[in-house]
Amino acid sequence: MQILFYYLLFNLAFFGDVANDPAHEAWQGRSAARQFECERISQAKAHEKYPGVVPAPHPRAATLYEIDAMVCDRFVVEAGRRSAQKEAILQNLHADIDELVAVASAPKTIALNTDPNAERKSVRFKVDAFYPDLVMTQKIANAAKVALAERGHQVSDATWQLTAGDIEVFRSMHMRDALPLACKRAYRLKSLADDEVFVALALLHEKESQLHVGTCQRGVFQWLR
Amino acid sequence: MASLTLPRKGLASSSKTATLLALLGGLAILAPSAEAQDRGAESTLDEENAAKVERLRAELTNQIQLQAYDLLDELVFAWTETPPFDSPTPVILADVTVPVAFGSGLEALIETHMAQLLIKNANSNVQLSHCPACHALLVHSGESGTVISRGVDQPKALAKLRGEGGAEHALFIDFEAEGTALVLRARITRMSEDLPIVYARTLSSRTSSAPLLRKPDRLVSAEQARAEYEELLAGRGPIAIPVRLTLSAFAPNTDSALQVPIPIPWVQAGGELALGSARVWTASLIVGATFLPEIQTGLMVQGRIYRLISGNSFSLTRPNFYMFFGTALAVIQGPTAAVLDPEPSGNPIVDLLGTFATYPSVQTGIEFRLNNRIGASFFIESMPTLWTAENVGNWMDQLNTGIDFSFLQVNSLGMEVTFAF
Repeated sequence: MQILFYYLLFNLAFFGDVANDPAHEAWQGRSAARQFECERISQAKAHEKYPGVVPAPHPRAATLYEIDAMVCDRFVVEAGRRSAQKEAILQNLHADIDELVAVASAPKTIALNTDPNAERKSVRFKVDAFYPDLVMTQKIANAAKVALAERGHQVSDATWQLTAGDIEVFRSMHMRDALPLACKRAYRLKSLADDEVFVALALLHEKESQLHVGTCQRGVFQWLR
Repeated sequence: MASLTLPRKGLASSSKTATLLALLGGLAILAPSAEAQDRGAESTLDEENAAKVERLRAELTNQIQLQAYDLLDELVFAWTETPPFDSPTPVILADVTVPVAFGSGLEALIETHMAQLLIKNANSNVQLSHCPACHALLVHSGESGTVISRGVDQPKALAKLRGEGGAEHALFIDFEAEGTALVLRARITRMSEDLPIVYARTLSSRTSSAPLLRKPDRLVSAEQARAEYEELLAGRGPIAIPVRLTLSAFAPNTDSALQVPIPIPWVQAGGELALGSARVWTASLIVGATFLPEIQTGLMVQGRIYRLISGNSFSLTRPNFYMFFGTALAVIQGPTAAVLDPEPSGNPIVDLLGTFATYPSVQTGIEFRLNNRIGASFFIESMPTLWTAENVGNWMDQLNTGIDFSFLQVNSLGMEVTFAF
């Protein structure tokens, strides 16, 4: 009996490993475990990132076997606090916007509508987002502006200006059709100059969670993705 | 209130109905109080849930606030290294936005921290300026029509309103929670007609190194902060030399009216080895001695394995708790030994030196340790060779629980204070 007692007591120390595992659902339930994003990385990389937690790999032992580290980070905002659609867009906002902006500012894209001999740097970008929620609209537009500026492009904080009547008409249309029409109208109203490219980031369907990008230049709008 | 909507026909004609009426009347009287109780219970539940949500929100906000401060520190540090302007330039803080689902309280904290950083780091060349008209909603009618927007978005209208001079640049700061990372996007816009963005930067908590809450007046780069952290880790090293003062007390035997061995003080010293920089597992080997004139002289050797139970890694700032298991061998000579083991050894040479008691033990306990420098612990010990000694009992039997604790012999318990070098 005593041996069993000491055996269990001794094992308590090892249970700590499992109890400290943030991705283990046995101790906290599935919903709590889902609050973590985990990735498996090598011990060397883990030591580089977390020197106080993961020891450096032993040079001789490293040749015999590989030790991995499971790195778990908690989501900054708990699941359920934001709508699923917003969460899906915001979760990868940086990567997604970077990708869309890369497409929108690619020399090929711009060359479609401008003088092919013109230098890319001479184009000035104006950006706006079209999303049912105002806060999200600002977030998306800001992310795109910063991403474009970080890529070395000239970016203006201004956007196109349309009349209240125009907006009323465009609001009644589907986004896919409204933006090309708004592009023509803005160019006619001289709200967009010849050397300006308007980048529109929009949600085309009410329930989708993937942003689309299109550019407007000299009154011609093209959906890029 | 179902009792009020029951049909009333035949109410006065039957005794059953009268009884029912009385019952319903009673229910009608009781119903409001029962409902009130339900309401009370519901409101208590709501309050509890609200309190839980509030606690969670506060916890998350605190975490995000610290991360946001780190990112702001990094941004301003970058400005001190490479200022966005050649000379000190007035800039208005046009907008601070926080992650979706967080409130304006966090915005205020971020704004205040940013102001503090810019005031204390004048070499960033960014001087905060006050401009109420820049934030105000302006309605401006011009050639192109009437435009309604904030002052910062209408530089022409703003210039008419506030005249020449003042800040010509606007700083926009946006934080967003993207998965497991907090992302800061900062941009500075010149408030001229075209509103060109003259500075833009994205910083993510995922890619930046933990800067250990840098002081606002002594910002260091993420690399430097990491170097300081690693220096701190290296400074504590894998090997420590613990010096320990221990007092262990034997359990009196309830079946005996004989003597009880006096508590034994030990002075111990040895070495401790951490099996990794996280110090989750450590092992120690120490020797100890005890000397009380005319009572006892003793030596002991002890080995222990420690396991951190208060987290995934040893904390430099908070107390750490370890659980340990160990084994020891002690040799006592003198009257205490005679109490522990009164039988002579049978070896005439050994018996010439007096009575000896040699006992191995297994032990377990909890240690509280602060920054690997000082610690205090409590332990229990079982000594198999003394289970049959008539003067040594079992501490578990002292609890008077009525349970037979013969399977768990706690013959000694003790406390320790440790200083590590």
